[in-house]
Amino acid sequence: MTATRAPSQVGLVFDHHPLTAYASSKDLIAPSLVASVLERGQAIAVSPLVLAEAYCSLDHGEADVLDLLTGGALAAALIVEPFDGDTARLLGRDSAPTLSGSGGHRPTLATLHTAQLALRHAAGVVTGEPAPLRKLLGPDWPLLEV
Amino acid sequence: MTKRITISVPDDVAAHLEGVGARRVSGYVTDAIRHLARREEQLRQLDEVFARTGNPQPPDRERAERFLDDVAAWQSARTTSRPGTPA
Repeated sequence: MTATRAPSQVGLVFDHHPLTAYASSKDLIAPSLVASVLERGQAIAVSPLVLAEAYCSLDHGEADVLDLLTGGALAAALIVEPFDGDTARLLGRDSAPTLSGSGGHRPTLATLHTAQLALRHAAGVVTGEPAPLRKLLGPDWPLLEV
Repeated sequence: MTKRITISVPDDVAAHLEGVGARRVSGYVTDAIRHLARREEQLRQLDEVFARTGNPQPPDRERAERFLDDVAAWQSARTTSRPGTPA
């Protein structure tokens, strides 16, 4: 008999690009990934900072479409991870060595939290802006550009 | 509240349940049914998503599957080369 898989193993992390592209009907890779992830008994992690970024760039009707993907029963498949005091401390401590030596353009907090989630879950990242995540996660980390 | 019901299962499932132990069978079956019910609800909601956006075309689904396969292969290689890391 097939072994039961853990229902909420995070396989992917989204930044705001796949969410906004889906909500504004530009790209359906986000719901395609949700469908595939459900079939595999996995989940997708999203930073609340990313979710806020996504909603900021949508009009009211598009925001309703995003509600449909991120709420209700699908909230168990597209998990919004907490960003609390402990996360803030850890994120700052983890990021300081990377950022102090990087110079130039600093990644946003949402990008840093996305990278932190990817590291925590050893998960692939879906993004519209791979360069800063590539810099944070390394050249071999699986990234899908949308 | 609980209700006693009788179910019939294929031989391989019955053999698996025997391994679970008689006292844990009810909890085991309850968890499995709740898991499947949640998944059905998720798939229903995903159908609502697709009703709003249109169904993804095969290239979208193939691209999603290909990337998830790549991630799984990378996780497997990472776990092999770095035992103890999450996969």
